Amino acid sequence: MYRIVEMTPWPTFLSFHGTLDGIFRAAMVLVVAVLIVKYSTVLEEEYSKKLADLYIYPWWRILVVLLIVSSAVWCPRVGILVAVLLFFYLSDMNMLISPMTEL
Amino acid sequence: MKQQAGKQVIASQASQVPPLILAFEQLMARLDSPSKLIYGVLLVLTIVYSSVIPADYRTFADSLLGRVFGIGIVYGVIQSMGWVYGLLTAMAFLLVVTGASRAAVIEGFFTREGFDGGGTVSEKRVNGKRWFVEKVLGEHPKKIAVDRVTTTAPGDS
Repeated sequence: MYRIVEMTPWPTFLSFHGTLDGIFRAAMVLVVAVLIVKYSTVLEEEYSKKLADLYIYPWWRILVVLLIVSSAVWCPRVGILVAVLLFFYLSDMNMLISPMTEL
Repeated sequence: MKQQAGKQVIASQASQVPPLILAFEQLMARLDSPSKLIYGVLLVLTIVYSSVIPADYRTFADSLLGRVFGIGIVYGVIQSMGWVYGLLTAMAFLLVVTGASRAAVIEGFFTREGFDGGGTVSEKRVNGKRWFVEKVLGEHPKKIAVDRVTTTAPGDS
């Protein structure tokens, strides 16, 4: 005996709904995904000079972490992608600003 | 009648509270417990200053035992504190592990002897003060291959 279960075509945790907030979330996911592909997958792709200059300041890195927290509170999908993007940013900058003699 | 008058007084007093203070009180009511906030602050500091963590801790985190501990801690934090804290914990752990090999290389560069004669060169212990170039480059040699400099007089060639 089989029970017929109605399957939703799209997982609920991935649905953005049709509201304005949902559209913004989907747009942010798209933008962050593009940034991850552009900057995080290729080491030779250089970051902008402002991002490189700001990395040495601790308050900037604190703001970066707070951006992760705020985006995660707003939307889990955006938060996870922003965390991935900023992890690669912090890791790359930590390596790239090191003197060549220390690499 | 007195009760209704008292309620009206309380309601009028509550309506007199500035909206900024009301918003602040609502924000304070929504905040996590102090222990979670302290843990969150420690996580933020770990992420911000991950590049200055000593190489010993990084090397341990990159070992088999350290990785098992790290994954276990991340799982425990997600189960007990929520996934936002777990996300920050995972990020801090990955940033610590990422620089492990490089930190070990840097530490080895400044503490270990880089020259290896391979058995074909007669090595001699360093005796005396460091050379100027060694001080400038931050080298601490323990052995040298040649301790004598052969010079010849200039002549016509």
